[in-house]
Order: sequence, then structure tokens, then C-alpha cells
Amino acid sequence: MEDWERDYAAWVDGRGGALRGTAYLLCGNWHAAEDLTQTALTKLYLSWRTIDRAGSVDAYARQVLLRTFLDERRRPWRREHTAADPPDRPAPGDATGALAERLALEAALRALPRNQRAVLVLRYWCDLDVQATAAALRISDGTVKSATSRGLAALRAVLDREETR
Amino acid sequence: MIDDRDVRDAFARMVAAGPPPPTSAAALNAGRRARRRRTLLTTGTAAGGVAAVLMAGAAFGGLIGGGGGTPASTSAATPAPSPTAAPAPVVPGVSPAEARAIAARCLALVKDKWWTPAARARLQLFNVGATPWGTRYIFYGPTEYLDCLHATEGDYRPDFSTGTSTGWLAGPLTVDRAIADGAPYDRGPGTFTVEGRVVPSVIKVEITYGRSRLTVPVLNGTFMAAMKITAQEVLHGTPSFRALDASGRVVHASTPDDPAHRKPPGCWVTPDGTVVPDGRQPWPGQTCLPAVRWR
Repeated sequence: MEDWERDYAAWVDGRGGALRGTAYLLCGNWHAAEDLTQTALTKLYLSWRTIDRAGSVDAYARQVLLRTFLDERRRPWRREHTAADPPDRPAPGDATGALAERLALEAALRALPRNQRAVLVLRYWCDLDVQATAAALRISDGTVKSATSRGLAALRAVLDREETR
Repeated sequence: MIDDRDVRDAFARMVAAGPPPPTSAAALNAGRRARRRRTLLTTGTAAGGVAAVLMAGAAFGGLIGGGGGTPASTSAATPAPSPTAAPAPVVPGVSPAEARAIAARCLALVKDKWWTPAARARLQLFNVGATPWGTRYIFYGPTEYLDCLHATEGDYRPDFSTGTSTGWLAGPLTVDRAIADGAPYDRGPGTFTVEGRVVPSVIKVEITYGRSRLTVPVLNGTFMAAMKITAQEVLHGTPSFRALDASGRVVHASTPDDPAHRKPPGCWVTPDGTVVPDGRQPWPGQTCLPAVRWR
């Protein structure tokens, strides 16, 4: 293994989990998140020797992940979806209430348009401000604000509903 | 009233909950998780033009058929295949009883209404081969396709499609399932695995993916292959196929720059007017060729 590959492997070991978390929130399920993460990591691997690692590799990787997520619709090939795709099972210790909220949020996230979902994940998971989110998604500040407003309204409705149960 | 902080906390809880623990459901999808890229295509199209085929019958049922894809005119019809048209497939080294047991183990994890005992009984083993992920067993029924991966002892992983006739081919060679996956996430080599069906005259299939090339024999009208590819090829490579008969003649070539390539028609139809899925929708008035009978 060459030095750069060791660097890459160390980065994946340390930061791959966070990237996977972002992928999960973007996709709304872990299976698609795994696919997305692996595709993004492959692209990162291929460009590892040419990217400016003096800058933020995390930001670069996040951008790759985001572009991959948003570009998926435009790919010349299709993903295959097995007809038998059982839902995720609850994790150990996942209390019923928390599980219900998580499942409801997953469903709400999946129901959002892709760009709107990406805006929420960047704003509230990756902690980017409006300008940085707009730059990452290549959209205007105004679009970020309106997408945030609409997306939050949808998620709040879910959270409110779960809270009052 | 929920505020922004609640949304952040909710996201954190969702991520912290993590994926489900290894369960039968997880095992069922484990093969898919490792995959980098899945390609479903027919070689009736140019190499770069990827189209969903048999597996798409389940995944993208809306693309083809359902009455919307009936072309305005078709060529002469070929006779409908009969279940008794071909002898039962024989796979050396695997008895019918063993094949049934393998299919049962794979389908034991599947919760899908299609797989009634009758549907399971229709499956026949057509091919088997070793891949880096384990041994793959390929089953077909009249309207079923099952790819069963035996990864490790007791670990069986199914992929399947249902509801699409397997009695017809969209041309001399149809790819039912093709996947490019692998490095570098799991730090292993990339792999291209492919399975498909051919007309009776074809005895071997030459598969090219990037710089890798492999020729595999046809068994019971089917072929399957697993070949190592690079990470670059996983993302950017495109497979191409050549089907050869016993005299070495190229019966089918998928790439337009191959001298043996013949421009495919827009569509293939069975005698009753059903379009054989190859990922494309014929336009009104388009002339389709008769679908090619498989077995």
C-alpha cells in the first residue's frame, strides 16, 4: 500500500462514519446510504492524489456525496431494487416511541424533494449556513431559504405529531 | 412548538440509531450493500445505452408493457414457447434435489407474495459459478428469475424478478443481471458479474469490461461470468458482449464499432404483441422484430 492509500484509508476509518450518516439522512434508509457512501468514497479514492488536502477533505467528500446523490437521477443506468426489501428492524434498545419517531422522520425525509432534503441535511446536520448551503447545491440563497422553510414545516408536522402522541 | 434545535436533535438520533442489527432482513440485503454499481442492460442496445431488462420487470414494471408499449406493427410472429420445448436443464455437479434445497434456502428469507409453493416449484437451476462473493446459482421459471448467492456456510442471499416471461429474448443475447462493484470501500478489487441468456446456436460468450476480457461457455442456454475490474472501471466502464456459435461466427455483437454489430430494432415482441422488456418503449407505429424464443 502506498502512502497516499494509507492516508486515504486513515481518513475513511476516521470520517467514513460521519459521511455515512450524512448519506443516510439524504437517502432516508441505510441500504441506499451504503450505496451512496461507497460510490462517493470510490470517487474520493480516485481523486485523492489530486485534491488539495490542505483544504478540508471533509467538505470535499461531502460535496462529492452531495453531487452523487443529486446526480443519481441523471445516470445512464438504473439501480436495481429487489422486490423483497424488508423494512429495517428496530435496533436493540430502540424504545418504541423513539423508533416511531425515527421511522416517521425517515418517511417524512423520503417524501421531500431531493433538493429540499439536501438543504435540510446541509443546514441542520452539516451545520452549513445559507450561503454555504447555496454554494454547495449551486442554487440561490433565496431557494435555500424557501426550501428550508418548506422542508422544516414538513418535518415539524411529523415531530409535533409524534410529540403529542 | 418544535424549533430548529429539535430538528438537529432528531437528525442526530436518527443517525445514532444506526443501521439495523444483522438479522435475516439484513442478510437478505447484505449483497446489495457491498455493491458499488448495478447495471441492468440488454445488449441489443449500443454498449453505452443501458436499458433495464428482466430484473426490471419487478423494479421498473411501468417502463414496458401494461398495454402502453404495444407497437403499431410487428413482423411475423414466432410460435409461443412451450414448457416442454426444451429438455430439463442439467447442471453438472448439482442434482435437482440439491438445486431445490438451495433455492429453498435462498427464498426462506424472502417475504414476497409471488413465491407461493407453486412458483417455487417452477424454478429450475440453469447455471452455477464461483464469484469473489461466493457461489452463484441461477434459476429460471416461466415467469421467474432467481439469483442465489451462497456466500458462506448457511448464508444465502437472493436477488430475483418475477412476473416477466423468460420464454423470449430481446435478440440473440439478453443480459438479465449485470453488476459492477468492489474497490475501494472494501479495499478489494472491483468485480463485474453478469448473467444472461442466449439463443441455442450460441455456445460461448465473450465479455469485455474496460481492459478485461473473458470468454465463458454457455450452459443450458445461459451464461454467467465474474471478472476483476479496476476502481476506475467500476465507475466509468461499460460492458460489451459477443456471442459466438460453434464455428466461431459472431452471432451477436453489442458494440457499434464491432464489424459483426447489427443495429438493433427498436423493440421485440412476442406473437401476442407483448413487448419483451429491454428497457425501451417503442413509439407508435414502430416496427418491432419478433422476439427470439429461448428454449
